[in-house]
Amino acid sequence: MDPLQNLNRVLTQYLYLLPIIAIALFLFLYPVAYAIYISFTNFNLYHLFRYTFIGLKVYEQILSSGTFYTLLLNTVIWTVGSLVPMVVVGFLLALILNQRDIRGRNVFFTLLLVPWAFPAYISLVIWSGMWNYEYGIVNKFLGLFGVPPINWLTFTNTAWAALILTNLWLSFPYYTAVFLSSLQSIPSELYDIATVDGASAWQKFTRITLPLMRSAIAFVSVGSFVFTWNNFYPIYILTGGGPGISTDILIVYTYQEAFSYGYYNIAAAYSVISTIILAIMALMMLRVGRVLEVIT
Amino acid sequence: MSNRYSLRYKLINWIRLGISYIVLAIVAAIAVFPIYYIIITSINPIPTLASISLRTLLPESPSLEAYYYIVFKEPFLLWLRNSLILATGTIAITVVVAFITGAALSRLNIAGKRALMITIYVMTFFPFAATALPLYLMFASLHLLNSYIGLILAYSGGTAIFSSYLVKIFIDRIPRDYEEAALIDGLTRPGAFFRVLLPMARPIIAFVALMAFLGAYTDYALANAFITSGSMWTLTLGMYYLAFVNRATLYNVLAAFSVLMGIPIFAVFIAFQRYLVQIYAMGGVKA
Repeated sequence: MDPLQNLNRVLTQYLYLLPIIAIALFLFLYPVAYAIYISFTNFNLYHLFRYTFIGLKVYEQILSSGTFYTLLLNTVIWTVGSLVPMVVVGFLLALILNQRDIRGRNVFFTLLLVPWAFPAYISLVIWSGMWNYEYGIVNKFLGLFGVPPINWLTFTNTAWAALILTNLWLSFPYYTAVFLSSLQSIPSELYDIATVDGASAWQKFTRITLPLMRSAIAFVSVGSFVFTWNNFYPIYILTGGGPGISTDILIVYTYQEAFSYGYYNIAAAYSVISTIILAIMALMMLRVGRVLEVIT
Repeated sequence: MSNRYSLRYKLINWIRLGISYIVLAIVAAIAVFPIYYIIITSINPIPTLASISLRTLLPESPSLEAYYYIVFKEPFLLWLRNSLILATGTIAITVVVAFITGAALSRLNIAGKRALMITIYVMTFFPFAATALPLYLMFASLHLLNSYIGLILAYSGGTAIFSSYLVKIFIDRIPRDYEEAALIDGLTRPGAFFRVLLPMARPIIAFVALMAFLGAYTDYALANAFITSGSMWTLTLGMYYLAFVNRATLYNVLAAFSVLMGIPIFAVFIAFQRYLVQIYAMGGVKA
């Protein structure tokens, strides 16, 4: 093949990637670069047309304020506090459903999928009514057992409990489904051989099930960590970050700063900081979980 | 001795199964309850949260009045129309871009492919808040706020990137033999993509279309930022208004709204659950 024809062939190949490159550039990289740029200015609703470059001032302001550390701590509480119960509950339910002698597995599985199948946004609107102090159905149920009504969403600790329980309800089906499907992909011969060799149930679990589930758990956990860190709706709808900012997380606060108060530069700086922290943690987890080898 | 052993074994088995069924039954009840509760509320005469009691969890004097009210007395149909227009546009862009990109990344030997793939994967980490604000400012200067095309572009950015990654993973698992045979038979490269690979990639295309639909249909955050005129409102904006802003909303009407908006998605999901779960398990997707 002559070089010109070869060049032509290579260029045609890049033509296929043109749409995604255009999207990545105009709807992703340019906006991100622009966000970084305005985080170095005093651009906000009050300086819309005459804004100036003010260097690292916004970052200094954020990093020296208590607000940022509260938000960071809350984001970690939210992410880890949601992720651990979700993975544990999801895994346990998958193990229960994966027992060979369970009857009605398909019926139970479908029922467990219900929270996942209903759009989360609507479920959250429903849950916000269910957690209501005076009239919520949750307090009415607790009343049956003689528990006095709890003002769930107006105190920090109960608000966290309500948020994490709601998030657990929303998300456990995903973990159950994914873990169950990877449990079912483990060849049953492995267990049969282990039984013949006299292994106990616990030995089979720790020597066969867990090692073979390792990559599924790692993959799911990294994706879910990122998803939960950036999960906007539960907190936005249920508490709005309140009381005060005691259940506010970085992404919700960023959104409120930008679209409720018009502090564009502060919001931009927050999203830059949040993304950097998230990227560092995600890359560390990817390394440990060896996920990149799987996807490329 | 062996008799006692087998008795003990049987007992353990019974306990194991018993606990399993109890756990499954409790979790299933909790899983289903909120949806049951909202359906019942929508057909019961329940004007406010205060009138909900444990007794109203059974149908008392069921009626479809709330449904009539939400469909004809509130701008539900206008909101639905806007949501569907946005969702359709998002699906169109997402499906086309994701298929072309996924096929190319999977099948062509292009320099920098691995780098592009990792870039795409890492881009899925970014919170929408990182791009929502600059897109908002950018679209404001392009006069794309309060327009369908502005929001469709904003949604497609996120969904196309993510979907390309999914399509690539899926196509990696389709053997190359069919296309290679087609190429030898004289089909061009694009011909092989669209005539041979596309039909085989139909499951993932349907999945990607569903994700794009849901991305637009259930978005509140971007729509809330980008839309100011009432005639452009979507279902999510309408629901937020009726649930949290307008204090006069009847609660059973809000419930009817939730059911009308949520149940079609729910039905699709449950109907295709096997196949959806397979794809979720494949890509580590989180929705």
